[in-house]
Amino acid sequence: MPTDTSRPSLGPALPEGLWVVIAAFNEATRIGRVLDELLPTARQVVVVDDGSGDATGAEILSRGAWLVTHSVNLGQGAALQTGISFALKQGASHVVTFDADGQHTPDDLPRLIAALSEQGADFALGSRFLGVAEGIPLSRKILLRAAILFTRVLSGVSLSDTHNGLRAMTRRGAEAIHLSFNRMEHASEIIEQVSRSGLRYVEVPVRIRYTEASLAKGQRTSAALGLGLRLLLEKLAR
Amino acid sequence: MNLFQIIFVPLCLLGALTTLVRLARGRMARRNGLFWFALWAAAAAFITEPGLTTTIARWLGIGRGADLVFYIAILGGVTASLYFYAKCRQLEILVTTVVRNQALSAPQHHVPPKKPA
Repeated sequence: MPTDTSRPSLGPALPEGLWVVIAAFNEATRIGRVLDELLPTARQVVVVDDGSGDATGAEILSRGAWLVTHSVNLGQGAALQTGISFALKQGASHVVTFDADGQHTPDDLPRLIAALSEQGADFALGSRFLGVAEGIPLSRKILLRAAILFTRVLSGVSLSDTHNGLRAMTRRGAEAIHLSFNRMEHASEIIEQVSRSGLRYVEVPVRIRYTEASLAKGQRTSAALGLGLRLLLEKLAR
Repeated sequence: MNLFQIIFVPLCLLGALTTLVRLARGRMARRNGLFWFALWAAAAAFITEPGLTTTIARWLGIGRGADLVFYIAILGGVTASLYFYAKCRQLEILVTTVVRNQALSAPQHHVPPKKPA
């Protein structure tokens, strides 16, 4: 699997048909800032409000992004699939998944899109371990490394970062994704589906910014163990 | 007959009889009904004659009847867990589909007023 280690400038314009998909749950305090940062770069953004109990929806609408609302909280995987389906319905030529907690930077979008066209790939998967992981705690680093190993054993896919929410895909790639896991297991499921689709994928260095707020809402070790168990159960129950 | 047999053999027979009645009235799928009838009948037979489990265990090369029951219980537990996990997943996928279709049918978009220059 090729890795695009070059760092082109932000020169090429993003495609007209690019849609950015964000899943948000109780993100009223952060989503506004994320959209303010993102909307000057990406014109078409859809945020799936995953049954939030706060003013997340109002924040999204006030910024001019599209809002799709889940009536109950289903989980990030379900919200991303809803967003991808919405973007495809709108005729998206490219889809980017982006986190709602401010960890990702829009500066990486042109790099991801450029990797798709330059490498003839259908998926460009962001990698913090090829790029920059600002302020990443050691415990998170170990957890992510364990996830990489787990995915390698379970799916046979060798990537440098398996749980990175920043990914770009072509329309063909997005159509090949059908997430059935509603919660965090989707990160492993998406890798498996990318691999099974037979479509070309490439890893792209990206920058991830860890803040106190993003870490507070991030994946806990106990939850990660449960996630692994559910993935194993799914393999057995199939 | 000991106290355990006096209580549980009639209960198992009642279970078997109820299954037969439900099967006869068409309230149960044939395969399910036969499975449950066989289970109740086997339970009644093993409780009435505990030596039966030992005979079967020896025939299978396990040795003790209690070990045979233990292995079957573990196998049954794991099978039941996987069955219920699969049912829960089916239900989860169904709920997700309903919520997703509802969400996709009502997208919202407001163009915010431009800030004065």
